[in-house]
Amino acid sequence: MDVREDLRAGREPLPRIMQAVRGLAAGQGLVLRTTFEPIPLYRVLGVKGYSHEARRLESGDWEIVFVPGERRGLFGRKAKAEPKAPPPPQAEADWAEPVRTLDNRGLLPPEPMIRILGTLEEMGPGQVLEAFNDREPQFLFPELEARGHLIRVEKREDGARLLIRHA
Amino acid sequence: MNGVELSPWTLRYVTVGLASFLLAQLLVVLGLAYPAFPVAAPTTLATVHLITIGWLSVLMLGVLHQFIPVIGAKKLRSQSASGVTFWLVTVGFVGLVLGFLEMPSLLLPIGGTLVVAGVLIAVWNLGVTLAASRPLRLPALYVAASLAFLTATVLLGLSFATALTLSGVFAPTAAMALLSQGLALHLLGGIGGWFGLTAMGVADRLLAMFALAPEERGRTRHWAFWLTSLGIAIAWLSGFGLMFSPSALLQGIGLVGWIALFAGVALYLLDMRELYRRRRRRELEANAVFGRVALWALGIAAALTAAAGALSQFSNLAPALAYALLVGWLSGLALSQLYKIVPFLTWLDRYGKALGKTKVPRVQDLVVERRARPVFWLYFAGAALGTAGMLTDAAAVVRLATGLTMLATLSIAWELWLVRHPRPQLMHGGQESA
Repeated sequence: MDVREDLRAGREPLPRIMQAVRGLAAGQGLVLRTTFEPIPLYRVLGVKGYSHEARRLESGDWEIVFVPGERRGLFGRKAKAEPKAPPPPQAEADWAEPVRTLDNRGLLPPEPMIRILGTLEEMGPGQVLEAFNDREPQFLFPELEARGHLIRVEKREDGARLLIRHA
Repeated sequence: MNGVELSPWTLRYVTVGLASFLLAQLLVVLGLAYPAFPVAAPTTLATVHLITIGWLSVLMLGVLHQFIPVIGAKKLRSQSASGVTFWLVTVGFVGLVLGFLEMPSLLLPIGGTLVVAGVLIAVWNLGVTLAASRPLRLPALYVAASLAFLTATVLLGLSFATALTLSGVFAPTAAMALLSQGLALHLLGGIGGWFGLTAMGVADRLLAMFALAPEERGRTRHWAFWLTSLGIAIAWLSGFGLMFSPSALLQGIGLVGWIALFAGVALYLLDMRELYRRRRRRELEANAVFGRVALWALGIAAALTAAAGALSQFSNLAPALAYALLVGWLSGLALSQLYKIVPFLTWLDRYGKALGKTKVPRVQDLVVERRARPVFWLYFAGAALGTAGMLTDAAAVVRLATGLTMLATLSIAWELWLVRHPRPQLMHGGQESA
């Protein structure tokens, strides 16, 4: 959702945002683009159980990904949003077919992480990398996040299939 | 997005732990504790708690604040609570150790209360994180059970400290019963329940990960957990009941618990052998090589304990058995796994951001295994010699053996310090030194 036009036109974007949030199905997230970092909104949506990842776009605008998580409400109560099925933060259509595939099974940690980050450096925006790992690479997630890449994890009998969308 | 963060506190826990272990060994080498002094001597109690709280508990708490988020794929509930635990437990155990030297001293219950407070915060913090990652897999189940025993052990310890220093809180007969019969529970819950189950669970995961062995290895692995943890629980609860009323039935139930415990440990060792057999990585790194030596120490110590129980020599041999478990198995395992954990966390912290963008050294380049391997052998040789010395009541042998383990510990601590503080000329490929 992009509210930059509203902001430039001097319109108050909050009603539209809240309407969009109310329209989300359980487990769905929201990507928001604004002209400034909407810090008050973090609190509002935090109470509703959303956690956020903000990043500065090259144009100087902001992109914030809100995902339903386990944040607690104002009074310490468990937030309503169910974290059970972490959703893709972007719509299905935005995920192209993988252009590269890595089989990292049988590699000693942190080798899988090195290979994934190395391969991503050779890829372009929007391209998708597929990787098979022995387990969910916990220490890879923060690094992907810091670089703006998106990841989907599919648990499998023999480990995990990762789909990573280049930022 | 999920994923865990590096705990800023883990390495501080490790530092306090290693310093406590070195100090405890120094006290033994100087002849200030058992076997040169009686078991109940103030310096012996101080030394024992330097090892059990200052070294093993502090270390395991620090490692769990990093390990639980990783195995459960959930962020730690609170990093700052981890810091509060660190300070409460560290200050509390220093007070406790000084309190033992000055017995009877108010420092005992005060230090004990601080330790208990820190532990309860950790149990909440780690417990909530574990609960969020349900359904729990086996390493997480081990840790959940060990946290329950940790709570029982520190509460029992605090009631000892109170009974020893504050007359009037407990009736005199209750205080006597607590101190005489409760000690076995303190040992069982502490060594078996808290340290033992934590070490078993962490080793199950870490060794499988770094030896590239399958995590699911069949039913033995699950039986090992349930028999060991329920066995300790049954033995502990029946012992607790026996403090209040003697009963042949409770004694019988307790015996069943002990048998289940030994059967569980035996199955655990069989499963670990399976882990090493089915590994895909032929060349093992130092942590896996010496993790296996530590598992041998567990096997030997468990066999000795079972034999002592069968021959009704348990109370005579308790110090030697505790030594074999604490120094041979638990500390040996801890040192060998630290030799992997510290470089791994340091590498992530230092090079994570540069991965894929520039060439970075490998994790194994942060250590010099060739230099460390003889040191680990020295450590385990010292622990074996020390166990023999304890079994034969040869104080001089124990002091000599502790000198060997102390030198080895010091050397490993130095290797870990070098990992954290690389000297430029030792760095491979001219990386910046952090």
